[in-house]
Amino acid sequence: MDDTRNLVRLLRAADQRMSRATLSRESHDRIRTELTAAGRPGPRRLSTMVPAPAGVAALCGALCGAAALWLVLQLIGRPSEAPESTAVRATGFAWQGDGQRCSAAARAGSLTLDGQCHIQAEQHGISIASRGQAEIVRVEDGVRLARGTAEFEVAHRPRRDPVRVWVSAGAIEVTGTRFIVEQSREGGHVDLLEGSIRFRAKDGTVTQVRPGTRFNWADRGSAPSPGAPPAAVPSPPTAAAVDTRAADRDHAAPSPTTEPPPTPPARARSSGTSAARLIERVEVLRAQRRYQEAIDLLRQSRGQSWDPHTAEVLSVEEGDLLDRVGDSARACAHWRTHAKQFPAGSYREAVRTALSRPNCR
Amino acid sequence: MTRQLALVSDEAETTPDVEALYARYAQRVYRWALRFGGGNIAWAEDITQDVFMSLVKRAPALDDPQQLGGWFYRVTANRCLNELRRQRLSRAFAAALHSMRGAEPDPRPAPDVAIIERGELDAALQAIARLPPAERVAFCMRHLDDLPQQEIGKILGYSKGHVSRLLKRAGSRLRKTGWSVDDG
Repeated sequence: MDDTRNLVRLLRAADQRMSRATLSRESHDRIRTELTAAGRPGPRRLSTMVPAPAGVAALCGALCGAAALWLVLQLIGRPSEAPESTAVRATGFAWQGDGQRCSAAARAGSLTLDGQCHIQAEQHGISIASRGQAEIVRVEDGVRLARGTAEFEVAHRPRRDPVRVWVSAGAIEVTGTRFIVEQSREGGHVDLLEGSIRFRAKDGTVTQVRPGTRFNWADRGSAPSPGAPPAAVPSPPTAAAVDTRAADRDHAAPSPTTEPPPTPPARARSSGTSAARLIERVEVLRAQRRYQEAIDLLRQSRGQSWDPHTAEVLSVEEGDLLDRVGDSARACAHWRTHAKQFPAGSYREAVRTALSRPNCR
Repeated sequence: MTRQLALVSDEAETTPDVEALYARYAQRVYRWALRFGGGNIAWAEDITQDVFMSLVKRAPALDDPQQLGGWFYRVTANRCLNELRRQRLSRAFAAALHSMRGAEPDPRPAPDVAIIERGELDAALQAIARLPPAERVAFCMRHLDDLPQQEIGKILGYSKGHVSRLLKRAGSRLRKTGWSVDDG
């Protein structure tokens, strides 16, 4: 047979080539940081210290863990790749930035961040941590998140005007708190981790958001003018909804401070759009290795009336994530339930394989 | 990295730190993972991290921290095997997601994650990638590391007979797709 079809020879040639490959410096840094954090005595991740069903609290824990990792990076004197500080300064925002795998580009007064960037808008006392790509614009009374996902932390501002984080459907008014905002073309949401915020819609409607809850909005028109008064923009976020999450869902439902009241929680709705959003969110969390949060998110979605195929897909993903975090007991229990629930499902072979593992028998 | 990991708690002179172990074994682990992962850089990096996290967790129970080459090989091979199994589920999930979004998944690997360029070598890696995970790992161990079947079984937790069946099945599948699997 022709040598080019001799698999073993070709594999050895490929192996020879791969043997010259080396870990990138960036990977070395990341792994060393993880090892340092893991080797420290005591609980390695704050998320393990919070009650499992508290989704937002778990999110808090994971974020704190990420912040701790970042801090470790600084303490051990291993400067990570900082965004181009000249680019940051070029925005005229007096922001200072650094972070992991971060790049920044300034254009026409906006700052586009890619990676895990940490920046401070000193004038307003806002610390921002981007997650993936985010475009942030400084406006007179705060900042505007044009797109992407970012965590905001605002120093407490007693007796001062609130800082505003503008999004497509209005502004999040902040007096001192920590929250995560996600803005896409279709809309977005804010998850309040701690403190207190209120959402002022374009029509002036104000909704108070409580810790551990999510406020959703959907876009129907163009993004608001960053500095414009909210009431001057006519179209309200009609699809806005507050979604109380996890354990808080039943007893911490936020109440709007003005009419109209928010529409029913997003959980009550089940559509292709909500499934797609859920899936996208899970994908983002998975990509960020925030597996437990992805699991929590999927668990919260169980009550929705998904179509059978969607329900099966989501269940498979949850099981796979449980395997990923190494929780064999819960993973096996999940796969057993899944097998009963979807006996003729599309993934029955994969589920059978998962259940045939020694620790599942 | 400054923290020391006590591999043997009562013998200071045989207590290597994580940094030393990492410096000594990281590239080896990475290359093994690259091999089992078909040249996927990001995948191999993740495996490398996972293996060293295992080291942190298990280190106190290790017998001889100075002779960890075999331990690293065994843990890497098993970690790769587990990940390849999970990947099968993930791929099914990804396909379902794309289906729900009305788009076909792109079966091609991202160009920036593969270390081997397209061509014959890539075709060989793809042929291996199509094997079930256990067959794939056992095949690599047998033909690239020249490990005897009994040793492969010991590392993966299989009997020699099961390893033999895995290798036969792998060979059969590959021959059906036009490959020769002679040791050459």
